[in-house]
Amino acid sequence: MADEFVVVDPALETPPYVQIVEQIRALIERGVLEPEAVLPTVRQLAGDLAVAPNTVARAYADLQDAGWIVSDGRRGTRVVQRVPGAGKRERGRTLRDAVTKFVTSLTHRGYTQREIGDELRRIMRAG
Amino acid sequence: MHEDVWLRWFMAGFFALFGAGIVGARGCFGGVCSMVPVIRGDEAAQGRLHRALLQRAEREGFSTMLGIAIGACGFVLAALTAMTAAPLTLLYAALATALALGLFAGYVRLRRVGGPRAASLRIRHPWNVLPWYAYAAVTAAALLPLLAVDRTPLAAALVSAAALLIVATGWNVASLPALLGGDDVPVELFVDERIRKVRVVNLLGTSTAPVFVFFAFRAHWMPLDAGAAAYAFAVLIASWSATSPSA
Repeated sequence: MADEFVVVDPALETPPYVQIVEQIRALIERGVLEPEAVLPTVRQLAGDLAVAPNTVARAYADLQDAGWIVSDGRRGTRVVQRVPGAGKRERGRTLRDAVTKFVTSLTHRGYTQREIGDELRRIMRAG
Repeated sequence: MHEDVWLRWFMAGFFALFGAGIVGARGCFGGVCSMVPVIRGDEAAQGRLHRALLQRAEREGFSTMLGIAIGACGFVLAALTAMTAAPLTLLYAALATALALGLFAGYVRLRRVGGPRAASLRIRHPWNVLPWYAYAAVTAAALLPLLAVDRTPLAAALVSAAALLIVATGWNVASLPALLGGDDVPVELFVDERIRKVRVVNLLGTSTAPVFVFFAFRAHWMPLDAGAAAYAFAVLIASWSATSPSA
């Protein structure tokens, strides 16, 4: 339970709702959020993250469209029983997409690919 | 209505002390560091807790102006008590109203705290802070002054409204968004839950104080009939039991 949390960084170029989608999806993929786990209400999550309720509602809608979560009025929003694309190929594609977005975002801010690569290697070595 | 002189001076002193206390505490909802117990024998955990507490205190800050505003009400009421013949119940009701408004203003200030935010995906509800019957008991207690509208209608209505506003503030504090910075979320979450519980227990407990004092005043001049007194006593005892920290 301890690391079931989401952080939104307004300084990032990635829109807040995408940050929420990616983090919740990662938690589900890693098994931190188990199937049938109930997610907080839109109002609670929006209040905690200090974002507009529409931002969280959009993130939940995207996750629902992608088949990661299901909303059921009375029972709330839950992680689906069978998580989509948990296969090796799908995981690889998800990782590639995330890294591509990350590198593109930094490139737009003026960092070279070499700088990004060096920094990533340094961080990985540090553990 | 006969009012003892010593009682009037005692209340003047009480109002002045109240004002000084609130000014000294720099408003409401301060002192987060004293709300979380010390972890003995684990210096690493204590260090993390200490950092989270300091960050929390820094983010929340203090409201000196709010403290001065409520404290000034206490001083003004102390002067009115000492220099005029205004009814003590009404002066006390005014103090209860000032306190309730001050606590509510403190809550609004907490709600506006900004900065980087993280969110736990754990579901939170006011029932997790205190059981439903605690909120029910203090709400019933807040309505008790209305049993006494026969003699002091304005004071009774003010005390009841003030107590209800404090209960509502307690409910709202229980529902406040979690204030997590994202540096050490598990510890910040522990601190947030602890501070939330202490504040809600304090608020709900505080809401019964004006009611109790109001009845003490009223009993001084005109005791309630036995049935109403027993009812009031039972509701107050239930409120105190339900909001005790171990509940």
